[in-house]
Amino acid sequence: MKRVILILTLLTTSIVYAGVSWNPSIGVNASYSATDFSKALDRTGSIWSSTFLEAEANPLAMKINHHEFSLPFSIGYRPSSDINDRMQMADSFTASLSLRYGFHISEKFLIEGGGGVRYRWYHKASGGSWSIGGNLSALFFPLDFMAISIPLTLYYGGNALDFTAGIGLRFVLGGGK
Amino acid sequence: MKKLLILISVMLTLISCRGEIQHGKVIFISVASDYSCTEGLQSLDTPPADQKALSEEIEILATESGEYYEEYLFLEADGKRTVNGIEKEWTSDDILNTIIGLETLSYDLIIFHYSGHGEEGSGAFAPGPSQNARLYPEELIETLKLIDGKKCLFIDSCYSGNLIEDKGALTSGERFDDNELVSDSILNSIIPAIEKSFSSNAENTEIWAFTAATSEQLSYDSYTDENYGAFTYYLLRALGYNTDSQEATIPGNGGDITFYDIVNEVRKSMPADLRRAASPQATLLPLDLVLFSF
Repeated sequence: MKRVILILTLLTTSIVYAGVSWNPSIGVNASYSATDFSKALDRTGSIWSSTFLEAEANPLAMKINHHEFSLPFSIGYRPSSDINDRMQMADSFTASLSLRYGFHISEKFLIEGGGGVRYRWYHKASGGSWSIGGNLSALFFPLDFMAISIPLTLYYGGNALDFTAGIGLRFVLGGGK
Repeated sequence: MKKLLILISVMLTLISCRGEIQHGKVIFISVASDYSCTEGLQSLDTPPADQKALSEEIEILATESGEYYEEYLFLEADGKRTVNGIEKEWTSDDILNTIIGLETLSYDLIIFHYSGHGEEGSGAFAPGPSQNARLYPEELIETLKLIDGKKCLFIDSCYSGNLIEDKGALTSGERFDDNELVSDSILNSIIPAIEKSFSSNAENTEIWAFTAATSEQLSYDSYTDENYGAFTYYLLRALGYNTDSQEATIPGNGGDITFYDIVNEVRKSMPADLRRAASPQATLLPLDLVLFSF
């Protein structure tokens, strides 16, 4: 037990002296969403379009020099799609968790990439499904505490491939961007 | 910045263009029996009224949607068997042959309704005339797969959940204990959904089925209202039928009526104790079926 405490103390001290800062943030995104269902579910082979609105909380983001590691959690809503061949992609709510790495190219620019899981709930049908996937974002910081982001995501699960591309705002709440 | 704004405007324009439903046919096939001609099976009071009310409501909804309406009503009532009012000793083969004989296109809607007894174990319908005559769910599904069009099934019978094949892509939030519904929550679905979300069992038959009960439960000949089957009563109200004045009406808010709108409305409006004992089941898909569009 003493050894554990000693190791943790040394590790924490090293991290502090290595220039690690806590960098929590919150953000919102509005995206174009495109879904391709497998032939097993959709014979039309159509791409089902909608919008996707998402809010993100990132309380565990840590910045070490130019590198940033985070575990963002987000919730989202996708309205129903247009009608196609008498069918319509139903509206749904999502909850996502991902692991993300970011690299600060400069004071103003950040590139991020990561992977995670998403749960989608179709509330009228009272049914849900999981998907796994990745995300890529480019952020521009016009201000120290605020960034404009261009997020892209790609997730697969429940016999569906979901793609989103959008624009967002992120507000940094922590020590430094 | 200018280019970004143009791109966003194009995206928003593409997203905001609402697709229009093509206008085709709505075909209503209904099988209802009070078993007044069938020996050995308990008689039922409400199936003939279920069929009459549903046909009136679906006809008015189809007409208001600008679609051509066609109906095939297989009825056993007051000691007579009729098809569209004409006396005929119809059998389950006549029902299946009617389905196969339909001329349909991809955007046509076929609504199949059954109100009568269901067999324990198989969920088979008992359309008579003999007590041994059965129409099995698999036979009905395989026959429906042979024709074009979108199929919506409303089944008001015991053990009717046998019709909901576990081919849907989604995992339900319902939990049962001793054949009674004990909870319906997103939390119930999270763990079971892990396996289902990444398996390849999903199958698109273009059939959306809504049944009065699970594969283990009974359904009720009447409950809130003596005139209609328990499930059919709430189904009629969800479609816009006025069960008090027994009149077919158009729902006031207009717009689209989809399959999951009806499912959600029936589940919400049904008394908790009825829903616990006879829990309506639906095919679970991410794609909803647009039944009527105004």
